[in-house]
Amino acid sequence: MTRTNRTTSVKTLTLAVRQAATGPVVEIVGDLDYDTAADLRTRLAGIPLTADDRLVMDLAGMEFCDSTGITALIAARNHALAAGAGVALAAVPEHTLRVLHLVGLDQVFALYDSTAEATTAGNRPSGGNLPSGGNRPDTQAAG
Amino acid sequence: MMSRTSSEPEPFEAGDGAVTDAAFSALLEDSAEDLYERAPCGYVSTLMDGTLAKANATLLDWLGLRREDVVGRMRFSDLLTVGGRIYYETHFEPLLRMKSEISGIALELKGAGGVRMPVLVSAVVKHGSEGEPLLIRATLADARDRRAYEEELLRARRSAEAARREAEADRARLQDALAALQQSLLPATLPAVPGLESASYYHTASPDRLGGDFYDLFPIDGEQWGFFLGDVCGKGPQAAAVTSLTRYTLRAAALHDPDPVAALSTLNTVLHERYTGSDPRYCTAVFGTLRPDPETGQVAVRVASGGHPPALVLRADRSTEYLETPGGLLIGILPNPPLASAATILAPGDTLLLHTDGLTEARTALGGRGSERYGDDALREFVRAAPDTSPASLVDALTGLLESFGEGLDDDTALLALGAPATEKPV
Repeated sequence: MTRTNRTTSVKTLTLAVRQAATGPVVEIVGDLDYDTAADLRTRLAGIPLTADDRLVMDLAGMEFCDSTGITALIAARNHALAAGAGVALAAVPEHTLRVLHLVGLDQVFALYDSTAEATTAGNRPSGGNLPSGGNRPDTQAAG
Repeated sequence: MMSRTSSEPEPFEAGDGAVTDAAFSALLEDSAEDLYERAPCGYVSTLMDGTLAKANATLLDWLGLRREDVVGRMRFSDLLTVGGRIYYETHFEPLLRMKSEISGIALELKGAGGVRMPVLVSAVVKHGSEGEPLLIRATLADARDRRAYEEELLRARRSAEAARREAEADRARLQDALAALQQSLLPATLPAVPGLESASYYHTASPDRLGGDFYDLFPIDGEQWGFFLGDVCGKGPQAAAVTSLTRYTLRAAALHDPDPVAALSTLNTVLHERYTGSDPRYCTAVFGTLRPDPETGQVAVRVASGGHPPALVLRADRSTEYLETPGGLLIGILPNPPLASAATILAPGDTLLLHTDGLTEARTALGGRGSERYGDDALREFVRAAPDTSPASLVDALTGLLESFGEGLDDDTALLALGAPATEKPV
């Protein structure tokens, strides 16, 4: 499905998990694609979440994301919702933001311009930089 | 020193050298004659014309012949099988005459009881004091074990070849199965619809030809036709399974309720219930209905979209517009997703183009930067410049465009064009 420009031919994904005041923050660096998406899913499955948490995925270092990468982000959302937790994407790169908007996922994920904003309790999502990218808080999208 | 086993008597004292050596020789070999006759190889001497002059008992035993039948009566080549004889006369003998010695040549004897016996033959020419050739001495080594080894190798090679043929047959069967599955994902041909022109194209990037894009055109009732085009997330067999489920769900849903939003909602329910949790599967899709009007030649179109790029309308006057469906969400993510609908009328000569994003996401070498998305604007310009506005012409031109991307087109791409026939065909 959706494929954006690849800046490097070496497929690597680095994941770092840290704890913020709002809950776990997963830093996703590199390519999130067919070859690496399973790594994210496996890592996420091992992150305990409570109903008070907001799972933040920091995409500032994400260089590439294809449809299987998007699927992994959706799996992360399902993992968070199963625990009653919230989910948010921070610092979404422009090309991925365009894809999220195209497929309507900007309505499903809470989007923040930066991890700092995403990890500040009570902050409302910015919705990314697309002018027409309307969005709702993550709790509303959960059905 | 030679070694002996401890059970042997040791009648000789150390230091008694000459006596010891002689006694050993006597113990080991009765005579040189016996060594010749009973050596573990065949010995034969022939005149230069091949007439047998002398042969040892070992060889005569192998042949099952008596000495008097052989010596002075037969030639060396008479001892060989037909194949062995030909090789002897064409290779062995000429080579031996030229080089005066030859070794390790594989030949076959006519053995006792008519059994072929493989041997390895080495031979030297004995020369007289003037250097003239006198006779040929040859040793024949039993090569039956070696032949068995070679046959084992041959058998192993044959079984490897059989395994390879079987693997190829398996692969061919798998290809047939994949082709049958692939045909269940896409219509072989689009049906003829009165008052409508249609054309489609599918490019698959997957080596097993199981794609994640899909489209279809099918009758709903006497007046309405359904169509859809979409893109399943992922690759390979798992994606193909979702594609198949999607196609038949949409067809069945449309028969129950042809409203485009209702059809996509049904699909969403099916996918969401089937694939959930840590293995979400989803697709983007445009679903629509067509109602051709035989009076006016127009076709009424209604569409709904879930996360799919909007359909492009190319009017007969070559203006273009998107049939915008903003806010529609990927199918299969949420229980009750927002789905967007839109409607338009295709007048004669107008064509509706649906595509998957393999087309607009293809990498082109524009601007010399090597990796530029083709993009929506370029597509719109391209469509506007098509030879004519009919679906067949448009898909034809776009097929050429896709081919021109070469390796830049690394994703599956589906095209479906639906148009109201022009009243006046261009000449």
